[in-house]
Amino acid sequence: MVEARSGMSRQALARRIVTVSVAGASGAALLAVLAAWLLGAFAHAAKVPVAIAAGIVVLAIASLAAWRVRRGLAQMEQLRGMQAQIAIYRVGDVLARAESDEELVRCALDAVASGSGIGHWAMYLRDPLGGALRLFATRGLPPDAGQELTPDPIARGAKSPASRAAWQADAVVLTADTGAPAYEFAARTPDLGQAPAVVSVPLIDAGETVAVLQCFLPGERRVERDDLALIRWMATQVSVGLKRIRMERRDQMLAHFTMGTGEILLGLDLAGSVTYANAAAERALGAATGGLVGRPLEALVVFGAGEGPFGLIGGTEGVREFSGEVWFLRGDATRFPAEVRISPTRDRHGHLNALVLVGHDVTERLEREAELTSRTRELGLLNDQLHGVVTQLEEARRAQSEFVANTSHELRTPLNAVIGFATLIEQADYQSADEARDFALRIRTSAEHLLALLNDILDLAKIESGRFQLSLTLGDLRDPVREALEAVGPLAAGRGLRMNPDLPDEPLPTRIDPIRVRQVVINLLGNALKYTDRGSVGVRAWRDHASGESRIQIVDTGMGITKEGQRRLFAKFGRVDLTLAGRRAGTGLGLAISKALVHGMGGTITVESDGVGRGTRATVTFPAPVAEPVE
Amino acid sequence: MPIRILVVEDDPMNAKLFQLILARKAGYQVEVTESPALVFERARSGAVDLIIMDVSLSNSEIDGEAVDGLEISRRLKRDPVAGRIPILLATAHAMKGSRESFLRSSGADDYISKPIVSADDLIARIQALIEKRENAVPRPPG
Repeated sequence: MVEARSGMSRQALARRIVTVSVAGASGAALLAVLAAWLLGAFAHAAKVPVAIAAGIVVLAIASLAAWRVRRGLAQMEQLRGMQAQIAIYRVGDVLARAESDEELVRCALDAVASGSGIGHWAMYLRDPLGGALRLFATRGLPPDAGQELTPDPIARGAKSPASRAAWQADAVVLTADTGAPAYEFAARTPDLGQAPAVVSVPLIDAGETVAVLQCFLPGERRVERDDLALIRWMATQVSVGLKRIRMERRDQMLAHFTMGTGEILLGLDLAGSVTYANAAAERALGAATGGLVGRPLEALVVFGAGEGPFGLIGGTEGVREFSGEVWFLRGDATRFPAEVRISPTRDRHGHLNALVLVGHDVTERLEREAELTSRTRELGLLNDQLHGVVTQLEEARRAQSEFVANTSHELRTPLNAVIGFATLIEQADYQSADEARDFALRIRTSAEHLLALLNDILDLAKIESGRFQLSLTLGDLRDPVREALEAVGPLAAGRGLRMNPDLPDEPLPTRIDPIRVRQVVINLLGNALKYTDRGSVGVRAWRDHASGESRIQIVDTGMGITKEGQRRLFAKFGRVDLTLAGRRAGTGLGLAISKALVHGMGGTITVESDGVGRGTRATVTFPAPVAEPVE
Repeated sequence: MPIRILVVEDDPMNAKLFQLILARKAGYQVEVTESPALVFERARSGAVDLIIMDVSLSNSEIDGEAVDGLEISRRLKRDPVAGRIPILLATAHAMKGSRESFLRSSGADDYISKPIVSADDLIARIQALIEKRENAVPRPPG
């Protein structure tokens, strides 16, 4: 609390008026002596009775005295007005300079006291946002007055005058007759006495009571209209001063915020030019202090065609806030991405009056995101590769167990015949010796098939496990082809088919294992003969001059293969058609073995058919021989 | 009337063997085929008492689609008339779990693996299936 010092009181003013009046009366007495003398002369000359003359003199003196008193009162009023004016001047002056609420309130109370001649004051401030009222300072009151003046909550029916004024948002004048509290401290206060009048005036800002100014008048003193007007006016001044101090404090804080923050802050006028830029903006854009002010935003931000800052907020009326990423342009023509918000600001009438841009550089974030994206992509690729490997492994495992299951099936089928027919013979369930021999032949055929199967399975297993050693030498490809032709000659003759070999006169040096090439060609010729009923089987060997590759092609005029059949051709046990009896002799592994052997020699094998009934064409290709170093 | 058995088998040697064993040892009337159309025709006309079904059928097709013995069995079991004929799967697929998975997926009544080492066992199973079916069918009153 601030105890304001005493200024000029009403008592002092009254003393002055008395002084003036006494001076006036003395003057009047002197004039009366003079007048008496004149009166005597006048009465003597005019022959008027002295009584009448005396009456006239008394009247004259009385009217003179009355005039003097009126003039004194007017002078007093004038003086008061002057004092008020001085006080007003001082209020305006000190309130404009006060640095703190305390200083402001103390000066305001001094000024209001000397301006009004009222010596006893209290000032209440309200906590922000509609909070409670509390006694902030007193003047001309004993130090312990605060105990009695502590206001109760601002509400209907509040007891304390200050709270009532705050609740009503209007001045509350209370005298002893109208319920002014009988303050104990007042009785102890000189010039105040018991039952003072209490005048409480709220300080209102934006419709909200922010403070209450209160004065105490001696009980015998009437509260004049002028008093009230002056107090109200003072209250207004104080409230303006308080607001100014608060705004200055806020501005100061905001200045610290804007200078301290890493956010880019730009203020823009309606032409889109920078009116304010904080240190972060200057740093980010590589500008000198104050270097951004006056520059159009288009020179600092890369806008799309026809966009501009007003384009982003929906036109010059600024219908919306813009939030998004833009590219800032530095002084050295480099760019950086920033996340910005451009907001329109408006005056009290709702008219757009400025734009505010808040943003920050997001280069690092974008780099992190890009890195994350590329990491994610790499991880995705690795994952795909891993998935591929896993799939291959699973495929291999599945193929392996399928092979085992199929092998079991392929072995069990001829075994069923072996056991079944052997049982029939054993139990003499045959009707003739010929039938018994037929059963024995079936057992033998089945057993031979089992043997072929076993050999093929072992071959394939050896080749696939890599334990099968190919003896690769640079040999003439025609040799194994000729040997294969010789081997299948009897079969072709037996089926009444023509063999059409077409081999070149020149040798076909090729890096091969001749025994295995013969095996492959026998297999292919065997298939051709097996599935051809009429016509011929052609065998051709040649060198492709463009690629230098050696090729063998076996073409038959047989039943051909469906597309689906061609797909399954190289699968293990992938026999395509078993319709015709007698063609079952194959193990279903021949092509799988041939393929594995040719691959082992670095070559390829394909089997094509134009469709059912249109023959089949098998082609084996070996790579061009590489010149071997001379040893 | 002899019991009529239809053998669905693609391997000629095994087909011949079934025919010999079932006819000579049990006196059944045996027909062998690998044509699904013939199987349905025989089954629907009531001309068969039991079907022995191979699983791997290299040359059997229905409407151009390759079908195996499991698929033919499924279709038979869905048929109101043919569905009542017992099916005995006879297959060289005899890996662990084959029996359960084949019976479950085909709806067939029993399973025997090849090689069939005992003809008596085969006949006993056929007999059991036929009796079971006869018991299941309510006899006409009287």
